[in-house]
Parts: sequence; structure tokens; C-alpha cells
Amino acid sequence: MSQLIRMAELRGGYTPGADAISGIDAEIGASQTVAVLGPNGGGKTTLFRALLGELPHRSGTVELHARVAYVPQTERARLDFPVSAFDVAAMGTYADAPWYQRLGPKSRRRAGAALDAVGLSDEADSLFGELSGGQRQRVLIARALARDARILLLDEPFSGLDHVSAARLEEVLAALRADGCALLVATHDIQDARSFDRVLCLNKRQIAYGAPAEVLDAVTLERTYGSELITLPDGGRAVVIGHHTH
Amino acid sequence: MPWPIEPFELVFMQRAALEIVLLAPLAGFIGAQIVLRRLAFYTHAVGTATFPGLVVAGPAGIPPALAALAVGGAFATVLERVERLSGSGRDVITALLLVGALGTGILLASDVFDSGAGVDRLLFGSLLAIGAEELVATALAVAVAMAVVLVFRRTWIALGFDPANAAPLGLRTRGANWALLACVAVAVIAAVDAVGALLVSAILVIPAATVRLVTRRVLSLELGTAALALTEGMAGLLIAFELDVPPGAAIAVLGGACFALVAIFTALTRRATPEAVA
Repeated sequence: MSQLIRMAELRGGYTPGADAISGIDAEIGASQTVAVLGPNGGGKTTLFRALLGELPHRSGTVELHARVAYVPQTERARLDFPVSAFDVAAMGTYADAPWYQRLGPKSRRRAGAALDAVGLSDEADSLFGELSGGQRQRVLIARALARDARILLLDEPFSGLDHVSAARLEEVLAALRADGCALLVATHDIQDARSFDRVLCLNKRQIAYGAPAEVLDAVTLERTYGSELITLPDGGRAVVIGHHTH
Repeated sequence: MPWPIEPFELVFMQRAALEIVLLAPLAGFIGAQIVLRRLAFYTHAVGTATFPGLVVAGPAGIPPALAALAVGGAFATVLERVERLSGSGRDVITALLLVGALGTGILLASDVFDSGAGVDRLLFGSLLAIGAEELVATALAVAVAMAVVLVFRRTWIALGFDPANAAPLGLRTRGANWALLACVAVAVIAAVDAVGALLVSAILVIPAATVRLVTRRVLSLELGTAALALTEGMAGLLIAFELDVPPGAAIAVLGGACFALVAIFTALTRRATPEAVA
């Protein structure tokens, strides 16, 4: 398994001297899925921004051996914007296409293949705003794939999806994993995190990183979530999610 | 020669028509971005901000386009700084600066001009009095703006669709945002000669807002807006010629009426559709 990401002693934040994340040490390989768990404000988005090279103040090591792309939550996009699913997927190729040229056949093929990979070829001409939440999430994944990215950072992709849409999205992510992509998924779902290859627990600093069976114990979850963690009557644990804006 | 061709045998009508032909692509490509990026109020304010510059330009012997560019550019810079420093909302600061620019222009005009006729011309345009120099200035402004459109159009679309996540796509968003605001300012200055400081929205906002009601793609919005701006401009020009009314105002009223009709039509169609399905 080839390594795609190596982070060592990674720390950083938005203002000098005020680290929003610290002590991040992790190696992530091709075809690995990583659940990034943590409370609101715990540093999940900051970690993604560090991997995207967008964090204003950063120290430590970040090695990326493939192109990285971010898949935001769908409500961050404007649903009234007059673009089709294909148009959105094609946005992933914009940075590679010279500004003085129309979008070439190569870019169009990449956008088409990306839509195909998320199972939305039939909806290529549909307006993005008229698709279901699950379909919109898959179009945003297609936009990342069209960027030729093999490292995908997904920000709570299952948030607000019904069971059918979530199952379809899981199929897409499984196919991407099989295709050699590394997937980092920010999530609040502790139960769901057990199905990932690795779990990275974050609360301003790295609390733990490893296989779910090693990491997801009561002590680590308590240190990760603090008072946001509640214990359910059946012994399971859940997180109380407060209002959060990035 | 049959109407409506006959009036265009006159040189001043030919120049006015050429001015509209030059402005149509600006209305299409910049107007589409103005509507999609919700910059209509900013556009109106930049137009108004050029007024004091235009008042001073004539008597001071400064080219009007240069004066308008300086004041419009200063307006955009001050808007950005004051917004950041004061923490007030953009619309509040825009309104404040808009009123300030209009008041300053009127105060300057009261000393500079003997009559109010010049003020009317600056505020509401003088399409029928367009000279060769103004046409050249408009052509230059259009060339500059369209070159910027060519470079940034794709980034503007990605930014408009998903502002927070265009940069991770590898796009240079900061320069693109600045370029859009500058481009709007250049487009405003190009349109000021035709429709005046107060009516630039008649060219740069209303046609795009109208076409937006019926289009589902950015390119069709751009091309449709250019075609509508051309049609409304020519029709407004003819109305002004026949009825002896100011052409800027005629274009604005025509644009407003057209928007209202399309809005009513689309609302009725939308309401009728579910019944037809049922």
C-alpha cells in the first residue's frame, strides 16, 4: 500500500501563536478511509485546510503524494445558481484548463468520467439546485474527482441524507476506496466511524489515531468530546451536536 | 426608407446606436455576473459615485472617463476599507457613500454650472449627443472589460456557485474578486455616457435580471442578456426619438416594464404548471 499522506508534528492556526490544531502525527495510505472525529470547533476543518495548504500559519510536516480535493457540505453551494451537474463537475478541471481556451475535450471527458464514477451520468444536464441532497453531495464528489484528486477530504457528507441516499453515497465511497483513493471523512457519527480503516480523534490536538478497535474506547471518546458526549441506555455513546458555522 | 430604419440615417442616431451595440456585450457578460453575484446595489452606487467626478471633469479639462474612473475606483476602495474598519454591513456603507457622492456632486455642480441642465445630462445620460471621442472611450472600456472577462469568467462562475470552496479547486479567487469589482466599475463608466450616473442599472442590471428569470445556464444568461440589452437600447432610442424624451429614461422605463412582464409571465407559468401536471 503506497503512502499518500504523512503528517508529523503538524500544528497551526489562523493567527500567529494561536494553534487551532497541534500534535498531528498520521500516515495515510492509498485505499484507506479515515474518520476524523471531534467536537465542533475541535479542528476538523482546520486540519483539512492544513492539508489543502490554506492554513495561514502552519508548522511541522505535511507530505502529500497525490492531489488533494475538498468536498464541502452541499448547503455551502448556492442552489439558485444556474449550473448543471456537469457544469459543477467540470469546475474541478478549471484550474488545469488555460484561461484563453474553451473547456477542451479532455476536460469534458474528465468531468463526464467523474459524474459516471458517482453514478450520475443520467443527471448531467439537470440543474444542481434541482437534485436531491444525496445527488448534490455526489456531484460535489465528482467535482473533486474531476480535479484528478486521489485524496478526498469530505466534510460531514452524510449530514442530512436519508437512508437510501446515504447508502448510495456509501457505495460511491467504497468504489473510490477500491480505486485507490484515500478518504478523510469528518463525521460526528461514532458508530459509523467503526466501519473506517482508521479513526483520527481531534480536540484542538490529536487525541488518538489508529484502527477503530484500538481508538474508540470510552477514555478516548471522553477526552475527544468532553461534555458533548452522552452515554445511551444500551451502553452506546452519542454526541450532542450544537449549532456550528465555519 | 421605412420606419424604424429611417431615423438611423441621422448621424447622431447612428452614433447612439453604435454606443448601444458596444455596450450590449458588457451588459451580457458583466451584467450576468452582477446579477449572479448580487452586485446590483454596488453597481448602482459606483454609477452614482462617478457623478461628482463628472461634474468636476468638464470645467477642469479632465477627460470625463478618467475622472469617473478615479472617483469610481476611490469609491470601491473606500467601500472595502470602511466596511472592514466599521464592521457595518456592506449595504449600509454603500448607501452612505452613495448619498455622500450624490450630495457632493450636487454641491459641486451648484458652483460649477450656471444652470441645472448639465446636472441632468450627467445624471440621466446624453445618448443622442454621443460624440466620436465618447465612442472611442466606450470601445476601449469594453475591450478592457471583455479581456478581463476572458481571463476570469470560469473562476467567477466557480466563485459564484460556491464562494468558500473555489480556492481549494486551485483557482486564484482573491484576484478574481478584485477583478470583478474593477470590471463592474469599468463597465459603469462605459455606460455613464449613454444613460447617466443614476441609470447605469438600466443597461447593466435590468436586462440581466430579466433574462435570469427564464434561463437555466450561465452562457444563455450572458448571450440572452446581451441580445435583450441591444433590443431594449434600440427600442428605447427610437421611443426617445419619436416622442422627444430623454433616451436614458426611455431605456430604463422600457427595461423595467419588460422585467415586470417577464416576472408576471414566469410567476403565472410556475403557478399553472402543477395544475397541468395534476
